[in-house]
Amino acid sequence: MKAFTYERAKDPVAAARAAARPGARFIAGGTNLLDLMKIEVETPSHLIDVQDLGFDKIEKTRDGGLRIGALVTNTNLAADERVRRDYGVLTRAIVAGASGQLRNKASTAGNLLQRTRCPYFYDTNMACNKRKPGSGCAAIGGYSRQLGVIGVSDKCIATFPGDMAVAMRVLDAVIETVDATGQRRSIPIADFHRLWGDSPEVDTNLRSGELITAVTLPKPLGGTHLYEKVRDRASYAYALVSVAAVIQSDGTGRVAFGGVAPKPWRVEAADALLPRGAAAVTARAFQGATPTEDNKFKLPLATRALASVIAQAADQKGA
Amino acid sequence: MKQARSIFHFLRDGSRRGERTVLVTLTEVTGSATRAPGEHMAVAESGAVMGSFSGGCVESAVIAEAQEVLAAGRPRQVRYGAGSPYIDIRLPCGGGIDLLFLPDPDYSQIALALDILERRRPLKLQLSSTCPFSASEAAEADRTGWTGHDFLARHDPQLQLVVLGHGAEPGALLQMAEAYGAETLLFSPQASLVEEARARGTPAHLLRIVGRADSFVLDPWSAVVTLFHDHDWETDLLLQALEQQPLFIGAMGSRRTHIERRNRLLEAGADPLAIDRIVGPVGLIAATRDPQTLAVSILAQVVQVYENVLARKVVDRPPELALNAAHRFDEHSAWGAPHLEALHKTSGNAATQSTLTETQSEEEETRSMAGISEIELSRRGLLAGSAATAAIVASPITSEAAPLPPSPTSASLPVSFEVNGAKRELKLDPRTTLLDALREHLHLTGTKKGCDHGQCGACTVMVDGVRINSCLSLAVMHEGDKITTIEGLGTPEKLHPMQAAFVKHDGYQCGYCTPGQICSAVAVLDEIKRGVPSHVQADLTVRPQATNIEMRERMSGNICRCGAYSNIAEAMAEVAGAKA
Repeated sequence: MKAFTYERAKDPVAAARAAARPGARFIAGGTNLLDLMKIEVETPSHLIDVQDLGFDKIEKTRDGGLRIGALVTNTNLAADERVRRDYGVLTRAIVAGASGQLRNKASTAGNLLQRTRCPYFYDTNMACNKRKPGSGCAAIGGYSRQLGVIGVSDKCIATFPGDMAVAMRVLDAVIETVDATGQRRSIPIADFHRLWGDSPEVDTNLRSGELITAVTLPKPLGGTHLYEKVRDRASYAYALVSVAAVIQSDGTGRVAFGGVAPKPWRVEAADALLPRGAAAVTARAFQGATPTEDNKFKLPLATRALASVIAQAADQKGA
Repeated sequence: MKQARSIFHFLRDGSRRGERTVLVTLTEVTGSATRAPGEHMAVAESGAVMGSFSGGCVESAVIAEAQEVLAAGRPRQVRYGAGSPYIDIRLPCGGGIDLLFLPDPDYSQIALALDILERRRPLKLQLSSTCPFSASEAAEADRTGWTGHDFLARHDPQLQLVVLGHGAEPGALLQMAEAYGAETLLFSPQASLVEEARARGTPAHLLRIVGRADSFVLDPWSAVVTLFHDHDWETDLLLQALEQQPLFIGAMGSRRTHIERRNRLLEAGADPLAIDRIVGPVGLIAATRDPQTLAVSILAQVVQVYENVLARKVVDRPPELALNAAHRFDEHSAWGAPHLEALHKTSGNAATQSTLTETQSEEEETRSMAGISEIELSRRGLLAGSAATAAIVASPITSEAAPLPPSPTSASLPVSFEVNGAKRELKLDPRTTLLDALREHLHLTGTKKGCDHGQCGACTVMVDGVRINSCLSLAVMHEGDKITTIEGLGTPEKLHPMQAAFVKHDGYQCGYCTPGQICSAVAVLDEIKRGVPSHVQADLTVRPQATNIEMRERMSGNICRCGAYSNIAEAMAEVAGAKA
């Protein structure tokens, strides 16, 4: 690990100011950042510990939604009674990810900011445009079973690896931030993560030093909340394909896919096709997909996973 | 010990039985690895195997690959670990290795290779595209490594230890050396010792009179050690050893004895510089008395010198350049390397070309340096005994011996937290993980370092009542926290109920993951009690129960390579039942 200096911030704006320095990074749970620092994929020169900033509460908003503090742990968010009752897809997505130990440390903001698990990003012997811009992409033409099928570019075919954000995308969550001048901003989750394009080294639309303070959820949608995650092991593995869905009793609803793209993948026009069945939805949602020989299986898998979700929703309605 | 002979025996026996075999050669190492370039594995069609390249990380993949190579009938070069297109097979040490698979090695060449090694001559194996496998006697300058498109594997004869002496020491040393795998030979005036050695299968000669011995022949891979209490026996034998060019000459006795020995040899007309080749007192451990300790001490010193000589028979190359060698093979279509396509596409650029040139000149430089310094180095080591030998080890003969450049240091920061109920204050480099703080600074070594990347759970501890991976958390971020490690759960006299249940239900085999499993198990039952939901819960609004499937899901962050899972679940069930 490269050497760094460390400070424990007491105030959000001061933290954002400190973070505007080149080489500075925020650290909360640290489960992803430290992992990457150990292999020197991440080499910050200064760490700003944000654990004392008080963003660890879940509160009701005026319009009937929830404001989740940026530092609320995955465990506490998944276990919150309001979340379990009104936003079940979020609890289900969180508990489908990582291990108990990691969920106890992982923060809400950190989970949104986690970096791809593309093995070529992790292996510093390999060319990777995301790790070293301009060095090429060893994943293209390499072992790509786990990697992206849509929204990828000729510079990078990595995926966003998380589960929580896929559920938040279905719920239309909004990310709240503050910057070094004290300016606040609300970013709809649809606009938060970027497609790789020509600069895969940039994961999100956050500006330099901008600090996430909370994630808000609009008022509950009702319906049946489901998260189906297909992976190589029954537990503690990244998604090959995941489906987050909220399905209403009339068969309408919303759906987002994980494990397939640089961001949680939701196409609103495809949502509208839910009453016509899984194949209609995925045909629209994955229009223009560019899978590799290794991962083209993800397309029929997404359809089947969604079909399973629709069937479960019908079962639960009947029960 | 070096396995070349057993590898060739395996190949020869396979051929004799009519079974097809694959010779697998380690051609390149990036980072750390357990084997050196030029070493082999042999795999038979049936899956039987001789040799290894790692601690079990890649062997089954190597067997599978070898069987595919037999089916394809063509040589193949594959990389495993760092830099491999097989990203699902990793070496936990972080290193990478290139392996060359050669199907159906020629029987006559195997027999020739065995013959050369059995005559104690250095063997050169040439693996090239035109003649896939040829064995011949190696020249002095031959080094293990790449020469253009060919890979050369050099195998020096096994260490031979020639023991001269009487009393209790020779027997102890011979047995120790044989356990190591050295060839041994005894010369002794003590008939009982000679008989004992022969009974064990060690060649032994009886010395009848003081003076020179017949068949006392030493090659450059032979070490000779005198173990006489009556020093009259040794003068002529040492003169005889000095006339030859053995790897090592050592003599038992105190410093005072060594001065007297020197004078006797001078009187007998020996060259003073030549006498300096004798290491006396012999051994790495000063002033040993008992024969077994002396045997370890001597054998360690001899093996050190032998290993240093072998290390110089490998072309040295900075580890970061090693990956390029994989491409070198690939350039030659005759080898066919389907698995390198992915590698090639991404780095067949100008940068690679320039590093290749750099690598080659580096090789030449290393070779010429090694050529000049070889004799000097071993002599310098022998001149002043153990102190100088230690210096050899510290000198950068191999890339591994070279110390890493110091990282820029971060200023230490104070941190205080409570560990198992006791307040602890530390000053730490901010890079120190909670795991390292516990193990290295507080010496609480119950918590284990497994993967060090939050994947295995061996480092699980509880912080403020919840379990975390202590390897993925900076110690300085735990100011004021209450930390519980396995040492804080129970003691050997008063076990925590979960510890007792693990013992009762045999919830472990090797035990390495166990402290993490137990900390996790205790925390899991608490999580269930507090109603923390899990992936296997059908209804999120209902409180979870401590069922088998719940515990299995919740324990998925703790890996047990021995596979004690079902017993761990039983232990947890017992504790959960007792609580309920």
